[in-house]
Amino acid sequence: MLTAIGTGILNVVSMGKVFRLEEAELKLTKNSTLTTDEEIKRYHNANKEFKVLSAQMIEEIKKKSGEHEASIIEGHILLAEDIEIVNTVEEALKNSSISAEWAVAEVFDNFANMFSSMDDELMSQRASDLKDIKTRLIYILQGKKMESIKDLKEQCIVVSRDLTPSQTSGINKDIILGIATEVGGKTSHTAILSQAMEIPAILGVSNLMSSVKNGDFIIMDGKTGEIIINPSDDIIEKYKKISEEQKDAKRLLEIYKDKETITKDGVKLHLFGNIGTPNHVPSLLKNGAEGVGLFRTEFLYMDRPNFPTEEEQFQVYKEVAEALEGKPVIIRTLDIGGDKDLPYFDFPDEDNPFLGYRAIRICLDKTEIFKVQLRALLRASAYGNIRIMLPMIVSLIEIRKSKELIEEVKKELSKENIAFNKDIEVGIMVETPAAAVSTDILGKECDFFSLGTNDLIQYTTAVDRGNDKISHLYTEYNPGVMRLIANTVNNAKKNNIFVGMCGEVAQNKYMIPFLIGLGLDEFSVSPTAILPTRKLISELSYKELKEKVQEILNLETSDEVFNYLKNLISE
Amino acid sequence: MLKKSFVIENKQGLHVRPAGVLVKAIKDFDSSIKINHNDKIIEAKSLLGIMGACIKCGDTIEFQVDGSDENEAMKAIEEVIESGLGE
Repeated sequence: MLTAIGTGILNVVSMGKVFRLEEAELKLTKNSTLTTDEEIKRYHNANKEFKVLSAQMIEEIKKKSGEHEASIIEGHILLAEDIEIVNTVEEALKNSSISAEWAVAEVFDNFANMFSSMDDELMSQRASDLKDIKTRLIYILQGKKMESIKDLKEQCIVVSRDLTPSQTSGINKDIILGIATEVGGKTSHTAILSQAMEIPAILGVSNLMSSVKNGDFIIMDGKTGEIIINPSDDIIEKYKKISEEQKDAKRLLEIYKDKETITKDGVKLHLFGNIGTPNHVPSLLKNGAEGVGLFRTEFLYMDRPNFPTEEEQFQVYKEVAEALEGKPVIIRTLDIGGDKDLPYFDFPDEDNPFLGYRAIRICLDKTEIFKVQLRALLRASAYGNIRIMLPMIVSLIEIRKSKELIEEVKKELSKENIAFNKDIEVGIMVETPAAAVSTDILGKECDFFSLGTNDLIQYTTAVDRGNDKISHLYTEYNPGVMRLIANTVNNAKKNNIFVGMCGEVAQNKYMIPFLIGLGLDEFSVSPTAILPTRKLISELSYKELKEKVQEILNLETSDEVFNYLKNLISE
Repeated sequence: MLKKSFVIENKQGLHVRPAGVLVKAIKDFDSSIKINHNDKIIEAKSLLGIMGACIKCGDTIEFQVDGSDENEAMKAIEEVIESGLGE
């Protein structure tokens, strides 16, 4: 029994028989019997064919593993057509009477060597892209078909020195139980594929190919990156048990994917997800989110030299709204300042940035910046169910001023004959004690509340949680915080408006029963927390918990609150 | 011929993705488009050329555009760089 170690990509155990994918051996003839022009024509035809085949591959990949994988092959088309490459190949053909295959091999190898000598993972990745393109072009020139693992019929673990995107396109996860390669790391194509398709992989295992034969039995432990070759029966049993447990846990969650979020006694709740960029949308939908409860828009403003234009913002909001197909998308307006800086905006030096010039305060001061975002949001509202959420509210005045600006923008858009949702909902993030205490007033003039618990806890307990000396005081179980949450939900009910929560507390299993008892309408959590949260909610009874709310609110210390809630869930 | 300099703000420099976004945006113009990077002239329509130049965050690059559609091409370059090259 041998053990090898690499980088595990998914934290799961898998096992099976080895199928070795040998590297394509290219037999090339150097000298050509054709004229230079004929060889150049063969090369151009091969490039055309390459483009057609790649386009088919992209379609297939998009269906199975998503956009990112497809963009790799799109990059291949760009590289194959690259004028430096095309010119160099043509020159090589013109200078001596060699075959197109030979010229392609030489030119691509030269470029690949240049990249692999750069000692940078991203660059050496490009070297393997070039080798992949080279092999495919030569196969096309020779009229041969590439061996692909998508044609395998028997379940196996594919072991190879490297896997190229073209070899992995269209693979079937019911057949391929795992992938192990000698090269690659966390950012390689194979890693991305493994994550997108949920195929376990262990990459970067040195000497792998000399350690395994076809038909060997191997266990892959993605957590530790271990590969155990031909293990004893005891070891197999042990790992089978682990694997079964992992599968059970996953199956349990999959049951909840397409279910409604509903308590044991039939109360329907809304379970949304939080996102930071449109890239998070697929994982949100894959996990069965019923909407976006918090779309942070800061990414649009960061890592760039200037403010994003209305058009750029509009495209992003529209993309998310359309992807959600009518499900609610709550978009938080710019929440900059505090610890989030912008390189092109001059923030004043402040002693207390968290108590300073940030979020809605900047937006209402620099209305020209705010209006660009509002226009983009309103325009995008014509393409889905967008709701606007204002951060850092401390009084009614900010809501009124923001709504005045929204009305101004609506008028402008109407004049310009641009479509938008006239009844777009405008709500607030309840994340300051001032807002939480006065939710009875604020609720009269907005359409929804969303509790932002991270800031609410920080401002209520007056604790910077990065400060080790006092960070233990930062806790949602503080009775003051608990009462502010309760007050907010109660006042939402009195005003007949929707109330949700988008902070970390919404996915805290000890807090969820309390929130259900209060009557919170919506929980917005990180994508991976959606299914466990839905499962937990389905096991709780609103009627029973409602009876306990007052008792919980009467508890006198954080410890009492925590112990009570902990007992509640283990009952 | 038009010339204009830009400072690259992409954190990892012009690696594959941003370079790809740039090439896609300009490759169909008829004008010749070159980049001057530390006095080396690079073919801007070539993904390989750009990646091989190892342009880092904070580097200044000068675009040299020459041809019948040079105004449109320069405008496209400005737009795509200002948009952050897809990042």
